[in-house]
Formats: sequence, structure tokens, C-alpha cells
Amino acid sequence: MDNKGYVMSGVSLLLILPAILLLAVFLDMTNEGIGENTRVISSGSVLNTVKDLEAHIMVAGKEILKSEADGVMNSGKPLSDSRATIKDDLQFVMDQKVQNYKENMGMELDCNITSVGNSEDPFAVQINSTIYVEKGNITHLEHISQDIPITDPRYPIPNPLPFIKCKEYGGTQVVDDKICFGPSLAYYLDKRGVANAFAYQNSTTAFIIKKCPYDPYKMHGNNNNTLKNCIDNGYFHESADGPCFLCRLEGKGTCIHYGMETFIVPSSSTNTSVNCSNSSENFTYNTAPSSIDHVIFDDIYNGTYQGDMVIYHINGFEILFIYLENAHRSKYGFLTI
Amino acid sequence: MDLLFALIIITIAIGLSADALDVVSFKISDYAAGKSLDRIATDTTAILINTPGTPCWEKSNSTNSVIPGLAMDNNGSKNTTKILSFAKISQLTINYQKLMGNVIPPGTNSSLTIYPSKPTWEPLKVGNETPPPDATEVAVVNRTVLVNFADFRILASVISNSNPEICPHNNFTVGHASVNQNSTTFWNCRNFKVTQEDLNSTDFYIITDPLILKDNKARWLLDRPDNMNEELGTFQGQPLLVNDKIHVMLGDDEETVLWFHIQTSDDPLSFNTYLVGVPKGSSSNNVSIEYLHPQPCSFVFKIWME
Repeated sequence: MDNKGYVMSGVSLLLILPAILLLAVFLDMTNEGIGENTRVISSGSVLNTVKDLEAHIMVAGKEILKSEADGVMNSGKPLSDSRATIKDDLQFVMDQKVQNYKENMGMELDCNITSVGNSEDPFAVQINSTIYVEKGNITHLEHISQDIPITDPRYPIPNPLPFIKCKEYGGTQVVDDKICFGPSLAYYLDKRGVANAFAYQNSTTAFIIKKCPYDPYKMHGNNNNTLKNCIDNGYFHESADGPCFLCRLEGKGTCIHYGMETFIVPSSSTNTSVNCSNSSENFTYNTAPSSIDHVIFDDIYNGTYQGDMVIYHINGFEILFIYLENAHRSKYGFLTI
Repeated sequence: MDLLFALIIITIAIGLSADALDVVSFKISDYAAGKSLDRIATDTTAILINTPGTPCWEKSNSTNSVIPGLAMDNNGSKNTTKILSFAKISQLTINYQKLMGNVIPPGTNSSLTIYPSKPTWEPLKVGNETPPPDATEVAVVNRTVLVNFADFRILASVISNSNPEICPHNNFTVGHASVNQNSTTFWNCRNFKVTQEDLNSTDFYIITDPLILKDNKARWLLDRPDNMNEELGTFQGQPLLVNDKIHVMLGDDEETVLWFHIQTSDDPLSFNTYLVGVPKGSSSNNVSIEYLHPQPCSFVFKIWME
């Protein structure tokens, strides 16, 4: 062969080159497509992780609120800083969950609970958090603010205040979904020098925090049956003077935040008089401290004022009544004196 | 001689190269078109299922710059489950071509069918064009969604395993005992709020699940704390319209809290009862226990190049 053969093979190689180039372009495109798909899937996975963490904060929040309230109920000791305690508990639980994700999913995560505080709704606790998720090139940072309700029936939360206030004075018992004070509340009031304290011997109050459906509250005064049903169920009402849930955990009878209140019901009186059921023979006390929990437990400002009797049920054997002063009478729709 | 040999080899090389070029370029354009159509289909499905669309788009007939999202409006609540609203699906069926024209690129056409998981129900043909036999590329997306077939508002539900509430009849000489006492009949009671505006805009029905009850001592009662009564109603094996009763109970008040009581002879409950509000004027055929909760359906969306 002479030199001309190499020239021809070289040129034919040049002709195959475009085909190889096109093959390379095709492979590159396929890789791009796969890369695109991977990005879409990663992005979906990051977003779902964030949603999952957000939902977990809600569930963990409810569990922690319940467990702290149960702890206060059982020990009778108030929390020194309920907001900080709940924040630390929640941070601990979320750190564990984040660790789980890091190990199993190969993502970088950080969930930081920035604050725990009051929300506009006194029956909820507001939790602010920052969630950061990173997977490969995709990152997601979100600041979330959630209101955790304390009235979820799956996580019944007890009213912590009576357990704290009466611990030194004989404690309380829970009977039939109500807190029974026995002699302790009367003793507590008497020690503070409140007049007519023994009207509250054997009184009861609501145990689990539930929202009152009889809203607007003036409905309670329309008919005694409404008030009786509200007391039977142990409902709570919104109140500017009442302590909020977080301050109740700290044992405060009143606080500056918008809170809630419930009735503390004196024990029923037996109907001894046949003809006139509300004659004064039946009652030792015609006035006594007003039957609202933030009035009775107000030992900081000593604002336990007296109220007048409101009889809401007579059934032949017993007479049920509470004491309300004018401000609460007009709030609940009763006639003022 | 060598030149001719080389020519043969060159010709074969050119032929192979041209053929490879042809195949590869066809594959590239096919792949690009397919991938982009897949992307369009996935994104359109995401728009339809995950977003509620332009506010109140299903109430007006205009189609200019309207995004036909099918998800139910959640009124600011943070419910992350996307449920589709039947009213929006119906409105999309009426104006399918124009509304979809706002979402899919020009030069494409689409069809949408929703297959309920219950085999007795008819599939909903939202867009009923079919791809022409010579379409070069068809992309199909299949998703499972929940569809809310009827616009129910559950006011009170008496179901097993729910926490009992103490109703105003408790401890009264007239009326029924509370749930826990030892008697041959058991009562379950729930409260709910009703306003004058509700009376004007909704019809109230009582429905049971199952419809026909085995418990022949089952009764229902509606009253309010300041107007307690003992007028027990029976269950008829069909949804009961109770507008008059609620009208009487509400009277002249702007709003009130009513109690719904169910009497049964077994504990725990062997049937569930619901008091629901439906938009006024809905036919009673639509008030069925099957429509009470959102139903799972298959959402099949096809898109092709015209």
C-alpha cells in the first residue's frame, strides 16, 4: 500500500466523528433529564420533610402541654417559668426527631423553637419555630408560627391552679371529672383573712379545660338551666382578668395576659324549708367570696371580693347556688344588685 | 485501485454515520418532546389538584385569566390534605376548553376523567376529547385524590368512642339520666350553635350510618336548655328534614345553643348519627351517608400535541 490509504482512512474517521458527537450529546441530554428528575424528587422530599416537622410540632406540643399540666397536678408544685420549660421540652423532642431524619434520609436538618408564648386565643399556646432542611443543592428555610389548642379532647389538659394553691392546705381530689376541695379551699381563704371563707367548705370546680359553647356569655343568665349545664360540664370562659394557661402552670391567680376563668361552686344546700325554698333558714352565708377562680385565688393583689347569692337550681332535695358580684353578674347576663 | 477500495469504505462509513445521525436526532427530539410534555402534564396536574385557583372562580362564568384550581378553599385553616370540591369540578366541566386554555400551552389539548373508587358510581368526564390516532406524543398522569361530593357541614355527630357531654337533662326529674347510669336505654348528647342566618341558608337533616337501624328503641330529641322537652322522634330509614323543629327552637333569638340527644339500647353505640347542614334547596337525594365524607378517586389527566 502507498501513503494515499492513510489519508482515506483518516477522512473516513472524520466522517464518523459527528455520529460520535451526536451520541455524546444524546448521553448528556439523558443525564440532564435524569438530573432534572432527581431535583424534582429531592425538592418534593425536602418540602414534605418540612411539612412533616411542622405537623410533628403540633402533636408534640399537645403532648408536652398535657404532660407538664399533669406533672403540676400530681406534684402540686408550680413551674418557675412555664414558657421556658415548655420550650426546652419541645426543643428536646424535635431534636430527637431531627436526629432520626438525619440518620435515615441523609439530609441536613435543623428545627429551632424560637419562642413559646400566648396567642390571641386564650385556649391556645403559640409556638414560633424556624425549620431548615437541606438536601444536596436544595435548601428550605421557613419561620412558622402555630397555635396549639389546649382543648383537644384526645389530649385532655387539667386545670392546674387549684392543685397548686391548695397543696399546703390539705390538697384536692378528683372525683367524677370535678376537682373536690374538701376542707382545703375554705382553710386557704380563712388563712388569708377573707370573710365568709367557710362558705366554700366542700366546694368543687372544673377539672379538664373545655371551652364554653354558650357564647355570647349573656346566654347564661337567660335561664338557670344554661348556668347549671355550664357548671355541670365544667366549662371555661374567656376573661381579661383570669390567668392564662401558661401563668396557671406557674401558680398565678391573675396575670396581665388575656386568660380564662371558671366557676368554683359551693356545695349544695339541703332544702330544709318546705314552703319557701330560698328562705334564709337554708343558708349560713348570704354573701361569700365571688365564685370565680381568679377572684378566689387572687392572693397577690388580695382582690377577693364578696358576691351575692345566685340560686340556679332547686329540685326538691337540694338547692344549687353560686355567689356573683355585679361585674360578673352583668358579664353572664344576670340581674345586677 | 486503492482509491476505489477506499471509496467503498468511505461510502459505508458515510452510510453508517448518516443512519446513526438520523436515529440519534430522532431519539433526541423524541426525548425532548416527551420529557417536556411529561413536565407540562405533571405541572398542570399539580395546579389542578393542589391549588384552589382564582378566588371564587367557580361562581362566575367568566374565563379570562382564570386559573381553574380544584382544591377546596380552606379559609385560612392549615389543613394540608388537599380535597377537591365537586362544585369546582362541575364548573370546569362546563367551560373545559376555555379554562384549560389558560393552563396548558397553546398547541396542546387535554382530557380529564375522575373515576370514583366506589364501583357503583359513574366516572366524571370533565373533558371528553380523546387523543387523535395520529398524535405523536401523549402524556398521562394518574393521581389519587379525595373529592368532596356534597357541600355538607356537620353540626353535631354522635359517634362511638367520642367523649360524652353532660346535657341539660342531667339530674332533672323531667328528662333522661346521664350516660353512665345503669338503665336499659342510653343517651348520647351533643350541643351545637345555630343562628338566624343559618336558618335562611341551610337545610338541616338527621342521617344515620347505617340508614336502617336494628335498634328499634332508637330515638332522637332536639331541644335547648331553656326549653327542654321530651318529644322523641323516630328514625325512618331515610334522611330526616328537621328545619321546622330548629325554627321553633330558635324562635326569635339571633343565635342559640341547641342540644341533640340520641337514645339507644346498646352501649357502645351500634350506629352513628349526624346532624348536617346542606345548602338550602338541595334535593334530599343528595343527602346520603355516602357523600358525608370525602371519597377517594382516581384523577386521570391526558395531554397531547395537536
